[in-house]
Amino acid sequence: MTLLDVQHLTKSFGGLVANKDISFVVAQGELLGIIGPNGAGKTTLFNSIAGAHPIDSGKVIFDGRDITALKSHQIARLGLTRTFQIYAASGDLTVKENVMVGCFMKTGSRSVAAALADRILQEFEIEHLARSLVGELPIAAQKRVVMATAMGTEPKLLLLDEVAAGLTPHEVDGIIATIRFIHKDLGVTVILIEHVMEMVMNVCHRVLVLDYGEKIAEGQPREVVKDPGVIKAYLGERYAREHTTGTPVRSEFPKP
Amino acid sequence: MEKLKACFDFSDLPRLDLTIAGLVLSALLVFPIFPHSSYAMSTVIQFFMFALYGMGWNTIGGYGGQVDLGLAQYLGIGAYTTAVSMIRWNTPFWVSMPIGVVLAIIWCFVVGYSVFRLKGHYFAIATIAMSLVLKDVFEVWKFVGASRGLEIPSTRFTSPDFLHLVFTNDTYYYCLILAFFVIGLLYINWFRKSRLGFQLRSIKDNEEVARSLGINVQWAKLKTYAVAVTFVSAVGSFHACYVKNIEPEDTMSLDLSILIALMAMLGGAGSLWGPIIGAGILIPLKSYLKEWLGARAGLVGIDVVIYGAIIMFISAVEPRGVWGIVQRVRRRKRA
Repeated sequence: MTLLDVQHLTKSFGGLVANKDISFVVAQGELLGIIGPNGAGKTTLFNSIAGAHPIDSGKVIFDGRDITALKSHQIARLGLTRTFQIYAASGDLTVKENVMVGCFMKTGSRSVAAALADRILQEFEIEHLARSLVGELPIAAQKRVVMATAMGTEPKLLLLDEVAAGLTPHEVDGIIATIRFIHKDLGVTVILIEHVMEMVMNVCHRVLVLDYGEKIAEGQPREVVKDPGVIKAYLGERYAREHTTGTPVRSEFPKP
Repeated sequence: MEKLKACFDFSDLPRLDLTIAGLVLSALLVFPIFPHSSYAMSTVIQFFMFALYGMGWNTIGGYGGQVDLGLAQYLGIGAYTTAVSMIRWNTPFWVSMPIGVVLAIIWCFVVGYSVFRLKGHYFAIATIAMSLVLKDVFEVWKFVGASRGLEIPSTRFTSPDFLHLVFTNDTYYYCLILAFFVIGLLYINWFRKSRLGFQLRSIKDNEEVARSLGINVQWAKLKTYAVAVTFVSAVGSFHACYVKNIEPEDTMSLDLSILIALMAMLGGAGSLWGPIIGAGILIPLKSYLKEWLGARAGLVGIDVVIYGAIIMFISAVEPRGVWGIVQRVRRRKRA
């Protein structure tokens, strides 16, 4: 069953076309990765889908409903939640309060929201941080809080924007486990933008590659990394060589 | 029922805070019994009024981070509604106050619909502009006495008149505003933990993130603005009955708007006790400075200099005000 159907989406800023005629579908229960070099239009694509800005042309159908013209908070209420790459936490809210903000989308009752937040904190194994201020936590923990907060809204589709960026390999393993948990155990369909190829290769069912605002490839991770166009635009020769010989690649950026 | 219980639920606050708050409140409760000057009495009544204005400002300005510098216009709406209706139709305070609140809320939607599209300094300037426009209208509007203002004919009623709030003994006013104060405090205690309270803090943090969590940012701000305006307008109605003589200059001036915002910021914007601490510092300071120094030649306007110094202190040392300093010290002790 198709959960998200993006049709011929185009978005430009002035003369710069950030998303050019992009079409793809995401089935219920899928885990789709979006990769591409910096400035390829990945985050813009998330913004376009989630209603952060109006798009020039095209259509976005979510769960059988045309959401192209809806505002971002309306889209969130339909069950499509996105996270942000840079989470500017002012340090005003504690971890639990943060998660409760998400929970308050579905309930007006404080006690219900608090109980739900407690459950989510436990599931994400951050209940010991409940009373800490988000701004004071290390990045890996902050990312986990961001995901926990998004899960408070009980989404059907979750858009994750670079949740593994800036983390150590060990921390990346933790994030991978969390994403698997969200996807498998909580049954949420996930689209993630990621530069950490290890994560993309291990987690995603299918990968979409963007370059200069256009979709240049789409398919299974193993297939996509062999695509000459993708190697040229993003991965680089060295990644392809190491990958085909089975050497583990943990570098965040494809090396020249 | 759950809401009512939550009003009285202070369990998340440190016991020390509650002990101090309890002691201060009991002291204020018994204050009228002990001998006091009428000047002290009026200062404490002023303290309660400004603490309530500050609590109102704190909802939108503190928890929501929208620095409004035009809140006095709603004070004026409340005061004028009560004064006009009492003079012309002998309307009781308990009728005119809710009407004033409704009018203030209607006006706040008109103002808020446009100004909430702006952010930061632009928002603050726009709120100033709107309040100055309204004040200018009242200064030329004959129906409300233009720039000379209105005087409530207290001789028309016999004291104590609980319907029209005409008392010759200030203790009645004291008890009434104390009751308002307690209700206001309990309401804010509920508000800060309510869904809207959480949404506001999220909006203050980052509006984009707030939207992604399903929060209708514009509507949340408007609802909160209505809460803030309700506080200010209701106490504005009380102000009319208490001072009995109102004019645009002392009910809706920019000075007043700034003083309200300043108090909450000095005490600690976005905290429960902040506006009360701010009013507790500034109101006695203001009234005694005027009394002791203001009358002497050469020292007129010294209170304004002190406000300026306070603004500089807050912006340079601790944007969260006195309460921010307390919190910082506490956190350091715990660590």
